[in-house]
Amino acid sequence: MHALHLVGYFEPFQLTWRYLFAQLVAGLTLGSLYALMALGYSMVYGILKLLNFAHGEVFMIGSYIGYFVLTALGGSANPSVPVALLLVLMFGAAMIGSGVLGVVVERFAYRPLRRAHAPRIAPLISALGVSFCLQQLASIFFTTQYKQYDPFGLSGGTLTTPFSIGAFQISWMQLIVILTAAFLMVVLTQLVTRTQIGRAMRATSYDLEAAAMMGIDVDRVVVFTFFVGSALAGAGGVMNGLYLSNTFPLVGFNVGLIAFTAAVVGGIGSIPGAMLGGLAIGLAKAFAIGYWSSAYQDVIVFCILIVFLLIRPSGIFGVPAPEKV
Amino acid sequence: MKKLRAVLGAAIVLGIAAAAASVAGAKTGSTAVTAAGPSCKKATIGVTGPFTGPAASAGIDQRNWADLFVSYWNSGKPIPGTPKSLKRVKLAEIKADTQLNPQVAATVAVQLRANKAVLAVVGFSGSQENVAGGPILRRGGLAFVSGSATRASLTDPSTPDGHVLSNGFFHRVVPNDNAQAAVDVTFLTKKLGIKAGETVMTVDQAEAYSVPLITLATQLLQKAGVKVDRQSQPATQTDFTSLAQKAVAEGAKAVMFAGQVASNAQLFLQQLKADGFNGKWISTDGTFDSSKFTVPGAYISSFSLDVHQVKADAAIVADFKKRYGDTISFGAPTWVATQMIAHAISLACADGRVTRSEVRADLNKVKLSTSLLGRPIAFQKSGDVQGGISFTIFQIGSDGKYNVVQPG
Repeated sequence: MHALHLVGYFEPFQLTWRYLFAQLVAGLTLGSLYALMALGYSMVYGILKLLNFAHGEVFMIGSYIGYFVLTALGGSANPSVPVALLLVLMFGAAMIGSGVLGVVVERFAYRPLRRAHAPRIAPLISALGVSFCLQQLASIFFTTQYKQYDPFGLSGGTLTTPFSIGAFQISWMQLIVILTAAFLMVVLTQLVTRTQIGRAMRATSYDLEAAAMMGIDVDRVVVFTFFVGSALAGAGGVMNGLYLSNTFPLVGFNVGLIAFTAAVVGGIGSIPGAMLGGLAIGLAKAFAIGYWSSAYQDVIVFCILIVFLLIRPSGIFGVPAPEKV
Repeated sequence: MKKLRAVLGAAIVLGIAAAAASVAGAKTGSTAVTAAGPSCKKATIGVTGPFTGPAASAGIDQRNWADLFVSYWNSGKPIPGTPKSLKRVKLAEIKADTQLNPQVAATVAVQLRANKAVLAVVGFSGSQENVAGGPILRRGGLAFVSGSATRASLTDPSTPDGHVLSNGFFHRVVPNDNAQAAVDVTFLTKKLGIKAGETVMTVDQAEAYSVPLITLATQLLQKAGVKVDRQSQPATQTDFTSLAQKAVAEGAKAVMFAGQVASNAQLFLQQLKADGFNGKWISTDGTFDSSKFTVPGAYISSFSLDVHQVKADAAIVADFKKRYGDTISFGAPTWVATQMIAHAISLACADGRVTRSEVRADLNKVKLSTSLLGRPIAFQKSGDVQGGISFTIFQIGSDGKYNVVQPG
């Protein structure tokens, strides 16, 4: 009876497979962006128990770097190099630039506080300060005018025009975003589980002091973590520009807030949790718009967050912190 | 070593801050605030606008038109609507960048109010800026004339907006959103052939400008029997994928979009087209920016007209082009807003002295027989324009140019 009532609520077009798949793809694409961002929050929190609120601004700077590379190479309508090379250069520059920025932020804004054994609130405020500084500097130097990647001009628009596989409709750009995010997440997982630095990261996240006593260079691990997390944010910034065209000084703040939510839903500190949390929120947003109303998209996402955290406070893959006595 | 690092760190931070401050100062182009009182030798007016930020292209056009007017006024050149017999009081401008941000507008309002020399203000550009900064100017006794704020409630004292602005202080030389919603909906139904029972998606950007406008347009469409899918998406959330898919899937015959970020209109319409949308698009004056919104076939309604097409303005438009490059016409009403203030100050200065309240009173006496907009201009008691232009509908051509399809 209830199901029938629900069916009556929706328009007939909303009950087709084609429409359902379209929302699924839109949600996965958006979710991939959030997942990449959420990874950065989760990795840093996992190791330092720090909520790096400047992470969104690192994403924003990555997005600008991608835009400047794109513009320097002739823009999307008339690039001076092949599109594949253009994309590699944009991603490469943004990842390196954002990675370096992440390391600089850690070096000057967080490490001195860590060394001084400052209370946990201090680096949090420092992170907020860095976030606002970067936002304002971007507003001043890049202006607050929206910069357009114009992905619809790339390859004469073929990348953004959807093609059908049965009831599925997807564009190359959506595929690029989803596959690049999946590739980067696989690389990160391998890095963390199969390399020496990955083992050091896991050891440090388990117990920073014990890891140091065991001979692990904790500062090096922290720097590496910031570099990798920020590089992923930089890649996310370029993907955001390629998929959603616009970049502006506040772009990271908005995406960052949702990605942070994703990291919490997934279980902050957990890499698979961040991925899953990002995808879940991307899907929730797409389905909220597709089946209800765009006006309620954030209401739905954050209601889900509240309800979910009431049921499972430590998130999907989070482990409740043991009470030490 | 630690001290050296700390000193180096502090030096870097100070260096960045100094560089940022110098860049910011250069970009806003604000003039130093003087402490002298009002003068009839050279009267000071505030000229505000979003000279930087997402609406900078519109704001800079407004600033350029205000600058051009002041240069014409001060040099005694002929100005449409200004009688030769009027003894012109020369003007000095204090320019202030509001970034289309209500908080910044409020700060600017405090500065202008505190400056005793300022007699009236051109602005604010955005409706939300008037709501934030207007009451501050009002408390300082300053009249202000906007060349672009169209929210209907600003001049309606029965609404919270109109209540805080109060009649006699806020004025505008452009029509209000009630007129825009009616013009746009009539254009959709009568000219573009949207019929009763067909679907139109209406989208606002969840801010003070677009929500009331789209709400009214939605009501008018529903009254005409059109099925409306009302949507709302904040300007900073630029993912229109799901909305575009929904519009296509529900078979929307048209999308009506109101917002203040032209590049969002560009992205949304591009996504719609990529998904196979072949209906009509109409968006409001916030998206009127030929450098950012260039999708051929789209319709845009704007309170301004294309000044290039007003024959009497040819020499002034040519001079504008020579000085600043081409105009997007958005700023042309700001010329008229500045003219109304200049005229009122000249009337108030007839006895050699002037106060803010005199300028305010004389503003209501100014009646221009014609104007740069090709129409006579005066103010109603409410502050709304009497005469002036209605909304013009433009269509983007294949060359990206905005062509008039229905003059205002």
